Amino acid sequence: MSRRDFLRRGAYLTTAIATGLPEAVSLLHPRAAEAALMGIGQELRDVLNEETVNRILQEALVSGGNFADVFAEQRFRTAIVLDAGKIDSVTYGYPRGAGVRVVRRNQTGYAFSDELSYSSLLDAARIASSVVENQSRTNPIDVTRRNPPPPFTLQNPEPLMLEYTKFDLLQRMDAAARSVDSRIVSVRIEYVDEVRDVLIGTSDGIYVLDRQYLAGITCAPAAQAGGKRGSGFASMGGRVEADYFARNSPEDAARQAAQQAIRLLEAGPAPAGPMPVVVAPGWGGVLIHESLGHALEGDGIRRGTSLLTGLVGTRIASPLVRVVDDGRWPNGRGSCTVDDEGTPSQRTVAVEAGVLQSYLLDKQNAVLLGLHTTGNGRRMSYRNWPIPRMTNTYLDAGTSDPASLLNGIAKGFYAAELGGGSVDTTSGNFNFAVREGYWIEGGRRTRPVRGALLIGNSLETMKRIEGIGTDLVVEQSRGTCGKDGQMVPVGVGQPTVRFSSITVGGPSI
Amino acid sequence: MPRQSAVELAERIRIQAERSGAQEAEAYLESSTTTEARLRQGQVELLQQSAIQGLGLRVFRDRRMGFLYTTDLRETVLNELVNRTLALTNAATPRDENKIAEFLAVSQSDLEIRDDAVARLRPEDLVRFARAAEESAFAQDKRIQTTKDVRSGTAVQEVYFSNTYIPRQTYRATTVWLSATPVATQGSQRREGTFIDRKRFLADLARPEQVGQRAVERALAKLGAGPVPSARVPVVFSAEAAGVFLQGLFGAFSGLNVLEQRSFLAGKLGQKIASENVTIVDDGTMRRGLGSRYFDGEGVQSHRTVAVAGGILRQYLHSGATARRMNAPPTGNGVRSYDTLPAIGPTNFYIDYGSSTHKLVDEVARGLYVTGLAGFGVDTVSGEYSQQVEGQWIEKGKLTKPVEGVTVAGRLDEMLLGIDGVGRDLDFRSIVASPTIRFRELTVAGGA
Repeated sequence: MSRRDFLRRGAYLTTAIATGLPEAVSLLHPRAAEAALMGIGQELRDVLNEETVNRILQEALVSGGNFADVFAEQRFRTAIVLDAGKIDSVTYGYPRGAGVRVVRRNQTGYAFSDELSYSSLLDAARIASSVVENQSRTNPIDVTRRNPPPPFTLQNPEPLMLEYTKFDLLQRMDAAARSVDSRIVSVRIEYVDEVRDVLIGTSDGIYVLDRQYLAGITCAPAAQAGGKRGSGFASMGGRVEADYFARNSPEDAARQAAQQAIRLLEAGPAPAGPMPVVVAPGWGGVLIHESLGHALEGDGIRRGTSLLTGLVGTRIASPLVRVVDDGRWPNGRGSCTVDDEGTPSQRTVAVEAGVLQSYLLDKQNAVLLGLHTTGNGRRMSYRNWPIPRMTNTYLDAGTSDPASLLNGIAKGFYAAELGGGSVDTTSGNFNFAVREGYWIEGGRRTRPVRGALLIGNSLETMKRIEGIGTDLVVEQSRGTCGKDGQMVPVGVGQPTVRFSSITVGGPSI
Repeated sequence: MPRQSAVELAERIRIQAERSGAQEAEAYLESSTTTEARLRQGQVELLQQSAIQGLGLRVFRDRRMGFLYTTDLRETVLNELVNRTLALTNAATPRDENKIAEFLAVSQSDLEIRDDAVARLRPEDLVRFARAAEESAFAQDKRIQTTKDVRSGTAVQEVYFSNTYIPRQTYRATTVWLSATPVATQGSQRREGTFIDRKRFLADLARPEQVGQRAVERALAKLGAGPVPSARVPVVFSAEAAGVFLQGLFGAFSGLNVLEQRSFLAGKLGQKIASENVTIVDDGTMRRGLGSRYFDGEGVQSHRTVAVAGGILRQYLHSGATARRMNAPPTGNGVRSYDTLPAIGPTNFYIDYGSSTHKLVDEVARGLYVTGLAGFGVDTVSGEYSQQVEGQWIEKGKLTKPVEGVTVAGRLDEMLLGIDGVGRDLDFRSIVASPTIRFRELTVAGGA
C-alpha cells in the first residue's frame, strides 16, 4: 500500500468516526499499519541490510559448510472469535525474529533468535555452524538485492481492512447461520489474518524482501434435535483483496454450513468396505495432497524412504492423471513470490499422463539428488528450518462431463465434502475423512450419510482413477498442512474424480 | 533474559495495562530453550538450538477481553501494543465470565517437573543417545538397513505469571526425549516403525537400546500386512493406540463444547457413559507428569479431576470462564502458550489401569489387535468414529497375521459402553495415555 492510499484510508477512518461508529472498532493492527506505511520488509532491513547479512553469513560459514542463509520475519496477526452470538475474544499478535542455517551436504545446523539484532544473529550463526566440524573457509560473500516478479499483486489486501468491517463479517455470518433452522444450537466463527514480511539472505548471493497477506474465516454451526447432533463447516478467504467479501457472500457460506449441519442430523450411517467412489471437486484435492503429494517431497526421496524414490519416468498413476504444484496460482493459500529459501515460486508438473515427471524440492535435497530446487523450500516461521513442502497442489482437469461420472455405478459412495487426511509416505497408506457423503445407487446420488474415513494405498489408488471431470477447482480458503511439527498454508484442488474402488470405513456392513 | 528481569517485565507490563485502563490484566511470559539432534546412518543430520521468549497479555475492561502476544519486548513497542489492544477490546461483547480467576493457591508439594540433569545435557550427549538408539536398531535385524531418523532433544521451559490478584508466580520444567524410526525392507515392501519416549527426568527415559529395539519390532511387525474382510468383531487397542483414541475423545469432555452443544457428552453428567471398568482422570498434579505444572495458563491451581468414575460421567473439564458459566469447580485445564489464549486442554489425561492386559487378547476367538491409528475420523460432536488402523489379526487368542488397509468404525457412545476389558499396562510417554482396552464389537472395514 502506498503512503497516499494509507492516508486515504485514514480519511475514511475519520468519516467512520464522524458517522458515529465507535472509534475502537475503526482500528487497524497498529504495527501492520505502520509497516504498510514503511514499505515491504523495511523494519527487517533496518536491522539486516546487505552488508550485515554478508557478515552474518561469513560468520556462519567460518567452520566450513556448503551453504548458509539468514531468514528474518515479522508477522502482524489479527484474530477474532465469535461464539454463542458474542465477540468472544480479539487478539493482536506480533511475533518477529530471525534464524541462521548452515548446511554441509546432508547436515543442517539451525539457530534462531526472537530478538532481531545484529549481535544476536551473529551468536545464532556461531551456534548453527557448530554442526560442521571442518577446516575454515573464507570465501567472501556478497549478496545482491533481487526483485522477482510476484505471481499476483493485491491492490487493497483483505488484512488491511478496518477492524469494524471484520467484526461485521462475523456478525453477519452468525445471523445468517442461525436464521436457517431453529435446530441450529451453536455457531462458532473464527477470523484470522496476517501480514507477513520476510527477509532472506543466502550465501549463494540472494537478498530478497517479500510481503505476504493471508486472511481466512471459518464458520462451524452445530445442530441438535432428538438426541442427534450434526455439525457443518464453511471457510472463506485466501490471499485476497478486501472486496472479496463483497463478491463472495459470507451469508451464503454461513447458510450452507448450517444446512449441512441440518442434513447431517438426519443422515444415516456410512457404508463399510471397498466400492466405487466419486469425490467432489475443490477441497476433495486433499486426496491428491495425501495420496501423492507428500511422497513427491524431496526429503523422503533423498533418504530413499518415500515410495516414489527413483520412479521418475515411470507410470505411477492412471494415464488420465496430471498433477501440478503451482506456487503462483492466483490468490492461492500456498502461493508466494519466493519460497522461504529465496527461490522464485514456480509451476511444477509432477505427474503427466500418469508418468512421474518431477519431485518437489528445496535447495539442500535438490543438491544431494543432483537436481535443481523447484521453489518448494518452506518453513512455518523463523523458528524453523526450510523443508520441501507443497504449495498449491492439484489434480488437473480432465475431459469428462462431471455429471456423467456417476453413470453405471450400481452401488457406490459420493464424497461431497472432505475433512482432513494423513499419509505414511513410506508405505503409501493414506486416509481422508469425509464430512458429508451420499450413497450412489443406480448411477444417482441418493441418501445422505454421516462421516466416514476413506483409506487406500497411494500407487494402487492412483491407478484406479477411471474418470476426471472438466470442473477443476483449487480451494484457496482452507488448507493447513502439518509436517515435522511445521504448519504451512497450502492450496489443494481437483475436478470431480471417479475411482473404480476405494475402501469406505463406515460402521454399516 | 535473566530470570529476575523476566519476572519484573511480566509484572511491569501487567501494571502498565492496568494504569492504561484495564480493570484486570494478566501477563504470561514464557522463556524456553530447546535443543534437538537428529541422526541418520550414523551421521548428525540436524542440530538445532533455540531460545524462545514471548509475552502474552490479556486485558479486561467492562467484562470484555482483549489479548496480545509478541516476541518484540522493546518498551516502546509494548506500550503501543498495550494501548491499541485496550482500544480493540471495546469492540468485544461484554460477558459475565470475562474476568480473571482470583483463586490461585500454588500447591505446596513438589511436582518434580524439573530435572537439572536434563538442563545440563549438551548437544554431544543427545548425539550419543541417538547414535546408541540407531546402532541398536541396526543390530536387531538384517531387514533394517536404513532409518528415517533418530531424534533426541531437551526443552527447558520457564513460565512467569502475573495478574491483578496474583503477582509473580513462576515455575520451571524440563523435558527430554528420544525417538527412533527405522525402515524395514522386504522385497519391494518398505514399512517404518516409530518408538518415542518422553520424560521429565533423564533417569526415567528409556535406554537408547530399548528405543531402537522397540521401534524395530514395530517396523518388522508391519511387513507382509494386508487387509482382512469386513466384519463385526471384538477389537483390542494396544496401550499406545488407546492413548491416541483417548486424545481424540478429549474434546467431548471440554466444558466449552458441552456448553455450546458441540459434544455428544452434553447433558449426561451423572449418567453411565462407559462400562463400569472405565475410569478417566485428568491430573495436573501427577509427580513427574509430562502435563503437570503448578498452575494453568490462567493462574488456576492444578487439580486432579476424575471425569469418569466406574463408567459414570462425574465432571467436565474447564477453563476459568466455562467453570463460571456452569457454576462448576475449576479444574485447571486452561492450557496455553504465550501466543494463544487459554483454551481447554488436557494436563495428564488417562484411562486408569484395570485388571489384566494379557487376557484381553487371549480371550478373543476371532478379532483385531490394533497397534496404530490414523485419520481425522473422530467426531466428538455427532459421536461418529472411524479411523485407519494397522495391527494383527487374532485367531483363538493368538496374533496370527499383520493387518493394514482397514478401518474400524462405531459410535463413540456405544463404543465406550462396550469396553469389556481394561489392561494394566498404563505408561506415560505423552500427556494422554491409556492401558490396553478391548471393545466388545466394532466394524472392521477391509477387503471384499
